[in-house]
Amino acid sequence: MRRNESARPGASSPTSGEPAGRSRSSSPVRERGREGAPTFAISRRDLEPGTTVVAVAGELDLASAPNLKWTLNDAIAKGARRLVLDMTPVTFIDSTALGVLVGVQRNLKPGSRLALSGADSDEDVLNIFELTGLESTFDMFSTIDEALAWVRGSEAAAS
Amino acid sequence: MARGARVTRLLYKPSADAAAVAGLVLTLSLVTPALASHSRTSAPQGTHTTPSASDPYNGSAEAQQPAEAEACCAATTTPAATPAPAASDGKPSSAAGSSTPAPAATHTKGKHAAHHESKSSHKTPEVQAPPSGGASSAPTTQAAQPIAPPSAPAPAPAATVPAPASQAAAATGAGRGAKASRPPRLRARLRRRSQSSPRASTPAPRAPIFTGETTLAAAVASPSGAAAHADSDRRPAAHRPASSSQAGGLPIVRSVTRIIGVVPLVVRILIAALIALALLLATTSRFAAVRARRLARQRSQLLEDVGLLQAALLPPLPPRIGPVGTSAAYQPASGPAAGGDFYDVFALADGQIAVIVGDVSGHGRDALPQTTLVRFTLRAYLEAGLSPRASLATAAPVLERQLGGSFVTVVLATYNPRERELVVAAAGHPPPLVLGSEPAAPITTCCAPPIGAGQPTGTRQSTIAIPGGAVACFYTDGVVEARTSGRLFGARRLQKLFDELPAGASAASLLERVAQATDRRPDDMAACLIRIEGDAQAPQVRVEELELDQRDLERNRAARFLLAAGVHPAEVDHVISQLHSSVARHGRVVLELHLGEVEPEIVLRPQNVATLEPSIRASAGARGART
Repeated sequence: MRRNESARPGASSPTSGEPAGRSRSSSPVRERGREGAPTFAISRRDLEPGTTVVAVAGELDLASAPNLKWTLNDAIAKGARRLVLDMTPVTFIDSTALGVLVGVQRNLKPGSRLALSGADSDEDVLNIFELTGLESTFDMFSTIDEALAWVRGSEAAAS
Repeated sequence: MARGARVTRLLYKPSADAAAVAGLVLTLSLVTPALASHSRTSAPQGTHTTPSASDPYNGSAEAQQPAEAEACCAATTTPAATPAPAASDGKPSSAAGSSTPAPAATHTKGKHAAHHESKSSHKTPEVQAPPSGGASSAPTTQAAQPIAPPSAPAPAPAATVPAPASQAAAATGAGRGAKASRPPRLRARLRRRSQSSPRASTPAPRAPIFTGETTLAAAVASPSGAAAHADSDRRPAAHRPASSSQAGGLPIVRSVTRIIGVVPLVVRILIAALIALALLLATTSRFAAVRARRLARQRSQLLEDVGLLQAALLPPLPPRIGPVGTSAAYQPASGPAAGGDFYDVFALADGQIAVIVGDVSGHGRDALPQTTLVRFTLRAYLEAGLSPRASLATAAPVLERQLGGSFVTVVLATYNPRERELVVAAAGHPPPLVLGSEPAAPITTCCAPPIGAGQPTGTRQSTIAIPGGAVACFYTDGVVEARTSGRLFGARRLQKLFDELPAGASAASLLERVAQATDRRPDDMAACLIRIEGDAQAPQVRVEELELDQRDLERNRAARFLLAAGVHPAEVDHVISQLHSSVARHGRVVLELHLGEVEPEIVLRPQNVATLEPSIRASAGARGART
């Protein structure tokens, strides 16, 4: 029941046309938040086939949530089964962005895993995960390496 | 100069009150010729004190002037002041006679003039004595006396005439002002002129009056008894309209006719076109007005409908429900986030008070149906008598199927006035601030996830004892996620801000203060205050409940929860091992922490909403099948 995301902001699409392989493609997308808001930045790295790291920075809110949603769903559509969302530089996440994460998590194919890394680096962000009770919904790790190890391990376990 | 006087006379002739007319006429006539004559009159202020014998008219006029001026200004004249112009030489005796009907209508003109002369002869010196002062403080009682006592001339102006007080006063003031800036000699002349004006009913003598100085002198002799003078003014007034209309009306009519005759045809057509245009515009405007009224009516109807719809989402709360004071407020975000917040406070059948405050993750119009669905579903379970936690656990699987991907954060609470206990269960929503003498905050570790997040919710509940004098402040995340200089507003700032508010402040004033304190509010803000009365006693969290299953144990949730509640680490390990066996036996287990003065008491019991288990499993199964 995956919802196909179409009609996304094409200009800023961080599509990595690169085939799988070991190549690293990084396509950072920056967008200005609303007035006075810190910039939001999102970038995507494809590691080995099926493994993608999406790094976000700044504020994940109503303004940046659509971009986050598109990026994650695009990665999944392109065959990523091991997803790591690096949130280390994220300073704030609101309910809309949390909704995106919940949606992505729920729409993962069986055998795919999503790990969040670095969500505990900011107290506010961790607090929001605690208060919304979503820290138990997601698999959260302190570092990217831990998260990568877990998504790779989980896939190995599944296969 | 003369024209000025005449004009004023024409203007004021219809005035019912002759005395008032006299005052006004004097004032105006004083003002009008003032400029012209000022240059001519070089006599210094002091001249009146030295009336030369060679110029008796001037001397006497000036001597009499102060008193007379007052008399006229006060819209009256006194007989005492009038006789002055003894030296009038009798030249314009006819004028003088005709113009002084006052003292006694029966007097013959000649006699009258003579009478004046005789009086003036002994009057003048006395008048000179108080040339300027005194008069202004005019007592009002003696004015009516036909012949004033020797000491009276100065206070003469007394206003016995029924002139309207204000008018008379104004006249007096104006007269005085004029006097102050004008040499007395000039004043005397001006007065003479103005006094002569009421006598205009006899056209013949009028001409000489306005032409020569000598005739003016005669005119001065005329004024007489105050009341009588007023009378005399009134009488000629009847004559004036006729003469004036004859003089002024005809030429105007004639010239208008002449102008129309000269107007060319083109201009006439133009005027006709303009008139047609005006009519057209008037018609259009009339139609526009009708349409505007109709639109206004429709608009008010629409607003009414919107108000009804909004009331369905954000019900107006009574100021009190049972024993608690309630208030709620909502501020939509300025941006696209508007909509999605909801609240409700209502009394339950058993006397408890229930509170629902929540936020649907969708925004705008799309969120509205879901918002109402969630609010009324949760309300139904609460009304059915379930605890907040059980209501959430029951409603979540039902709602999740209908939310279509979006999720809802919500906090439910019931307040039991007898036990003075607030029972709170949240799903992905910040718990209420319980503000009293010492605020109480439920443990925020291991909160339950929102409805629609794909996880069982309704797993946490806190029981807070509120002995009295406290406020429970429920809010949506828009309040704490507002930004103040780039940082989150946060619950701590909210609490501080609330403490600064005066006691009994409403939710609306709280949100207003939040709006003032923050510079960016990206989401809707809703706040709901439950005010519990009584002596201020610190509220206290009594019971914390956490429902656990195998997965939660794997994720170490129980241990974190126990540590957050202040349970000793050694005890935690013991409890965890018990939990493992319990979960293995029952599937889901409720961990209850009874918090007190000393160590928390820990109670484990099987999950108590057993009847709902199949429902949750069914929905989980449905989800599994879908994905």
